[in-house]
Amino acid sequence: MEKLKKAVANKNNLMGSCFYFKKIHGIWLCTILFIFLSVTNALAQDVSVSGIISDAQGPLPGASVVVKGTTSGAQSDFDGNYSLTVANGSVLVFSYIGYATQEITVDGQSVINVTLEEDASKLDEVVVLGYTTKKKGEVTGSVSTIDSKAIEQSSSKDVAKSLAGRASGLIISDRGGVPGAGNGGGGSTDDDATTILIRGKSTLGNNTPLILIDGVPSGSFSQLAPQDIASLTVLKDGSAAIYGSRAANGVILVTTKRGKSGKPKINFSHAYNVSSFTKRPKLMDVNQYATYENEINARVNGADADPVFTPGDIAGFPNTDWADEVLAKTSPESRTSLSVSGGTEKAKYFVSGDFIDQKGLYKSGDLGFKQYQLRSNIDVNLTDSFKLGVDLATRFGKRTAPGVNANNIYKLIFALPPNEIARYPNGLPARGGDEGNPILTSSNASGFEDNFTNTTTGRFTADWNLDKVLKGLSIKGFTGFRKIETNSKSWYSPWTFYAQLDDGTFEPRIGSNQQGTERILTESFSKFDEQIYNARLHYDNTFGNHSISTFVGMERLTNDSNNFFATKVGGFPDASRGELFQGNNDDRQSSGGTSSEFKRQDFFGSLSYDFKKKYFIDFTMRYDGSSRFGEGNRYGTFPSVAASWAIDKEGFLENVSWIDGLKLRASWSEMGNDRIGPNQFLSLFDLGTNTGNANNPLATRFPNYYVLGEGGESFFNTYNLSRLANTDVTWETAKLWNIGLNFTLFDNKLSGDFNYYEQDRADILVNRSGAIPGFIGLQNSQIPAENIGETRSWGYEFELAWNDQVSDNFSYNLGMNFTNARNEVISLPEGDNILDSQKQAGKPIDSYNRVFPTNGIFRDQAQVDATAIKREGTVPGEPIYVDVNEDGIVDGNDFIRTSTSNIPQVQYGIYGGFNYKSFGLNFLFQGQAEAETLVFFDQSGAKPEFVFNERWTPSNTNSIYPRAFAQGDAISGGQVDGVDGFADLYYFDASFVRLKEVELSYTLKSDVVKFADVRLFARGFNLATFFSDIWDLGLDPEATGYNNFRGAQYTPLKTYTLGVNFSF
Amino acid sequence: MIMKKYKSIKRYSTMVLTIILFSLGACEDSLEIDVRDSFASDLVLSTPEQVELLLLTTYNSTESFGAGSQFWARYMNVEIASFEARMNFNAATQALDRFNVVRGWTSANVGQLGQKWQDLWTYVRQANVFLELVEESEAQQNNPDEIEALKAEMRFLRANQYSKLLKFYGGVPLLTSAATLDDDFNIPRNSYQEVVEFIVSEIDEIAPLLPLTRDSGEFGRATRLAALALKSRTLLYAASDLHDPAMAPQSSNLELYTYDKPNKWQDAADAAAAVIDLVGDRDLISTPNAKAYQELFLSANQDILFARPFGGTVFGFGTDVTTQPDNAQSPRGFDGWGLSTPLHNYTMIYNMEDGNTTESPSFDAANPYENREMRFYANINYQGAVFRGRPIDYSISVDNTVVPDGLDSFSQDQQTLGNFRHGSTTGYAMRKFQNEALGTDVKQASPGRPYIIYRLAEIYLNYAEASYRAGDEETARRYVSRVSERALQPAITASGPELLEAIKRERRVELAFEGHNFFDERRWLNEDNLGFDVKGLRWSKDLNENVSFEEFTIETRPFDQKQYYLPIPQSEINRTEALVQNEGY
Repeated sequence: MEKLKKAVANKNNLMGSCFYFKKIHGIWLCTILFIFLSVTNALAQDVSVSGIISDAQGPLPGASVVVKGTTSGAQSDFDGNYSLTVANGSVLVFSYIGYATQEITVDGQSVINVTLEEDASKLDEVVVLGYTTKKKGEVTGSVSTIDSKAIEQSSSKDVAKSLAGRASGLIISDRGGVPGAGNGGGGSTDDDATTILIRGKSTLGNNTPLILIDGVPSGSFSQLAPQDIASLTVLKDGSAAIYGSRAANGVILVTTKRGKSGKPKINFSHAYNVSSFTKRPKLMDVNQYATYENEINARVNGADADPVFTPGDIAGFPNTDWADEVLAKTSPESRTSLSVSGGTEKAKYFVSGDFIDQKGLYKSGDLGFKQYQLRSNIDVNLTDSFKLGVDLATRFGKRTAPGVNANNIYKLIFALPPNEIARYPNGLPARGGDEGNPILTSSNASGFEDNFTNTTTGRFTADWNLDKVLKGLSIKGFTGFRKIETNSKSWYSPWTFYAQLDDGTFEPRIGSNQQGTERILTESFSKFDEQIYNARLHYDNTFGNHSISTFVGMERLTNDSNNFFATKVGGFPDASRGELFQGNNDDRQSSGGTSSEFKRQDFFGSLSYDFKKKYFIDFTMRYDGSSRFGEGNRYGTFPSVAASWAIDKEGFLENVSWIDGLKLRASWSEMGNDRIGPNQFLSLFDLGTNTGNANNPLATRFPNYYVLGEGGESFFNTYNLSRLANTDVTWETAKLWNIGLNFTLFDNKLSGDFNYYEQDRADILVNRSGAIPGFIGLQNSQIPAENIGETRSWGYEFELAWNDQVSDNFSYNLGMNFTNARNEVISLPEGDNILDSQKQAGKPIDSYNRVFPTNGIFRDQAQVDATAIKREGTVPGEPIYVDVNEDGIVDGNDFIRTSTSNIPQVQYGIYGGFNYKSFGLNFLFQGQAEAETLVFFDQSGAKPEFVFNERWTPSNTNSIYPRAFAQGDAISGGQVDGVDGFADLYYFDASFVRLKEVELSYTLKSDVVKFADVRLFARGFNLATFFSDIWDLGLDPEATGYNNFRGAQYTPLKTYTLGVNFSF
Repeated sequence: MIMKKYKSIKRYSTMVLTIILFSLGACEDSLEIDVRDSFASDLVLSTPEQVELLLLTTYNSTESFGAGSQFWARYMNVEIASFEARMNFNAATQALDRFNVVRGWTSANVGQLGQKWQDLWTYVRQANVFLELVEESEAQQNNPDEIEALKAEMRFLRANQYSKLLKFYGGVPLLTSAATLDDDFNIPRNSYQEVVEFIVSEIDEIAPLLPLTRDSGEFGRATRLAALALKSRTLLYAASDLHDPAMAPQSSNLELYTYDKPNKWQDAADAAAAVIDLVGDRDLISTPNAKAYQELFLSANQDILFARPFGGTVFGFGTDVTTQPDNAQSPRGFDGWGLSTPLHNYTMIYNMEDGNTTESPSFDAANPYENREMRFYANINYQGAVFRGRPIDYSISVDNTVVPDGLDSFSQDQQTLGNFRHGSTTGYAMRKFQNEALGTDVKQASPGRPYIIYRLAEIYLNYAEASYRAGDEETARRYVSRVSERALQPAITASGPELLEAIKRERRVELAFEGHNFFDERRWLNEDNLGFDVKGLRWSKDLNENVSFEEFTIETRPFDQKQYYLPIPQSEINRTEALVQNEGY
């Protein structure tokens, strides 16, 4: 660095202003300027050569021809023509991505026509990496790529969901979600509809991978149009290290399509889907319900007690299936996409539009999502060496929902008994329950909630090839922005139901839930505004057997969030819609707003070197600053090194014909994570601002407001200490190493990749709430994060693929990927006296806590009598609890922490397909193992049918579920001894194998249909599920978990698609 | 050619320079960000007005109609764990027991009372943080007197929290400063007596700094009367048998539970007398009938010494009007939830109008609700009571296809009139705190109804009990009679143990559902009213619509000696070696 400083100083007259920037970044940038302003070179020329470059199909626009050993060259134009002037005897190198390079010596000819051959070798495929691209065979890190075709061929409207089972190292769970969920608004990385993890969980903090769309950080890519995606790369190890501080959870790089010079290519497709829940809850019918309730009654009040329901009662009851009343069998969806791309050698374009219309599965039809998106990627070559790119993408989404939230609707579905009337025979809706009739609350009769999300991203790139200055030198950079604006209007309006009076007439009444009998309007707006600046200096060159590729750069990111909301209660004259000005101006009106800022400043560099394309080594270094931390703790240094050895290039393997490629890779890197809440290093006060709960804005356990006065007339918003300061808060660090082997064999037919990795996380930002006793009086939210957690994760993964072109008419492929990702907590603060079996240390991250181990269910009285330690009053059919702490009694202290969670440790995909003439078939099976899901229903009401069918009865003593039990049952209930926790028998193995995707297509070439290639396709998504205990109970195994109506609500969908694609 | 190339280099280098300098310019403002989502302490501590807003937060420590913020606890308080009432939900099949009264308590589990520990301590810390921050603050320097007064209020609130901690847990760590992350948290419990002495000394110091009363706009803020009422209650409790070293039920760590002062009853009597002197030793507000008595609890009045105010819009848990008694406690037929149902056992301690007990011949067993004392009609809703314009009907018809079931019963035939799971099991509902002026829409707000924390009648009863125990029966009779006579009962003339029983009965009736009985029965070591068979009346209706009842046992409420106190949550013991668990857990 000192040397550079001196060198720069010599150029003082040119660059004097640089010295105002004493910080390291100033020096780096000065270096960039210095290098390109100080160097010159010269050229010579002689003979004129021209010709046509083509491939098997015809002229190939945009192919390059370079004079070997120089930087001079040309590109083929629209019709494949090129021309250039060279010294006689020069060697011309013809190349094009995806084609084998050809070299031809100029020997006086003036016309040289070349036909390039498509390169079959996978190793020459280009992989998008951080800030660069590399040939697949030269990558040193552990990287998975996902074929853009696979994404386009998925029936899912959510790109993230269509990645499941597609690549090793990705753990993706489809958690369901209402239409339009997972929109990633407000810069949030949370995705409630899909869990995306790279190599499982590895930290106690935020585990979401960094997602970059064209180099710009993006919260989510769920709603991206599949046709816009050119490639999707997953960086799993040190290969992610160039993203330093935020790359510890892995990186997903999405690259969008760009134009190629040539005639305009138009692609139009339309797909029509029919979706349904993979499984819809099958609820107890009225007989089962009555039997079950009678059994509870006999348990509670004694066998002699009068039954709750007599056969006569039951005969007179309606038999309402609440799920059936509320949920439709299927819902329609459609997606229409159009893209146009093309250009000349001077300017290329890719423009596209995409429209989705999804209806939700409420019968009312009042749940849905619509989204329009537009993209325009333009490349302009200002000169041969200077390129500009201008990208603009924008998305308008609108989600509509009923005025009552899904939680409330599902609560009614599961908690209302089947003997309540849903509708009278004349069609009028009845009362339902305390919180309404879900037929009404799941419709606009209860109001509505409209959510609008507008996202606009833009990027301006510059790529200046400075070969003329120094061969291999270039400057690249971009500025990007992302703007997300969301607004929502939530209108709660009490509804009308009918009461049947004794005289048989019907009287309209007003129904409401806990939000009250008055109309409530909440409007909220939020704005997220992000800018990113990036500048890099690249240098790539080959000197004989030595190739180097290096770059240095800096990046700066700032974002700004603003939001506000206003709520009014009562006073709105119209039931169908209100505006804020109409509402009452009393204490119940509330409004609030906040804003926040975030900044990062990062400097980075990378050096890749290889010798004879046989030995590769990559170094990267990153120096990152984040505003999440206080003065003095803001910057962190993140180094990485990776190496690989192309064994196939060694002499001893060169003549082994069946090995096409064999490569050993290893990497070590240190990365970081800064994803914590802001300002943890400051002590701050909150003024009461009624955030919290939109339904009941003031409801909070420790309120920031108070009411005074005899009539309670004075309302005060008050202060509270929001958090203690931790001035030392700094980066979480990850040390990761990876060893991998990849190979291609048998004439490139078989390829494979195997990786083993280990990762140690230290200084994880967790708060010490587990160790600070409650009497200190700190609420969890007041305890700042400290760098005190430690975890370890490890695992292996592999991919295998077989591709074969048997004849011109027939090709097929088959492949699989497999991931086994494990982790454990090494240490975190959690009380000294806690039992080992209850500790989190030594168990996987997010493993289930407070689980009460059982030895199954008491089969009969003899077994009960023979068991000394049991809960008082236990009868046959109830769980056999284990006295974990061996104190002679089973009580609420006898819980353990399990070694499982709902994140699968094993996930795999098996895929394949064939093309025969015009037919194509593709399929994907996805599976997971080593996960457990909670399945628990005790709320009185229409419980799922399996609770009835699988329960213990004197005639079904080997049951999986206990005897009939009521909510809060002291022995079988969810709260063992009142402690929130479940008996282990309610955790079910969440393994499954699923036929995730199938596509059958038929292509009509343009020689048949005059104007275009036409592809007709039929697809299926989540078609069938095998080997799943939870599925056998009538529930979807991939959902988050089932605790009555909580957890899994809008579960994963099964989708059938018919579509057509025209390309011309 | 070469010139041309240099020209283009110049042109592009200018462009690139511009881009780079643009990025560099952005570098100049480093990684500093503005904090825009909260306030820094200098503003909060600048003026008394700002400091007051920090103080008012801690007023949320005061009790309200709900015991906590969890779903069920929002609507009910400890009356459901006392001799007064039980939690009522879905009588037919599943008795929810959210405070684990029937199931019993373990260190892992006291149901929703488990949240008490954290809630109480959170406000102790708030008080300590406040007292530390205002010391040396700008506001303190510029307005020392105003800040002293605010500090006195905060110390009252902290003392009030400690009095609740004592009642639920016995002696607890006495924290008077806010711990930081670097502190040692391994803090042992202070003795019961130390905490009592702390409360008393705090009150003695701050009472003179507090205003005697507040004007109506500041109703709800601490006064000297409130502080002295707290002292009265604290000393009465401390003097009680539960804390007497000779009688305490515990066999170890007695210091955590006992209070040993020679003049403890006289101290308690003096503390009550101090309040009585300040109010001028006057009569209670007179109530000519049950309606007037019921209305005593619906708005602010001069007998209230300290209360948590509620307006027409903001209630126990935010704007959730159902946390107010009208919805939570009205019978099912009014679309109410009747969650805390009075026990038949409890209703039987209400006297006859003539002052005789229900054991006397004045009581007509066939017509149990005739000629009872006025407070029975004001406090209790029963079969046939006219409430919100119609008689309550809990009866189940022998054949509901001929004669319909009562609107308030748990019949599932009455589909449109509230949730059948809210039908009363005991055959009663709480009438106290019900505002009948609302009519039948119980989901409306009852504006201005306070939750009363200290009131003069309690002080009179404190005084009577302490005086009796201190040997002054004359004073005891005078003050207990003031309470009973206001309720149109005859003056109490008993003496000796009968007088004490009369005082206890008066407390049970007068202070019904106000959060006293749970602790009173404990401090009296009255296990008959702690563990017992819970009784209810089951009403039925024949085809002529004549109703009849049978008494039945709903459940047996067990009582174990350990249940004199709540257990300290096991998670606390796990984290703190020095913290001794309450005996028996």
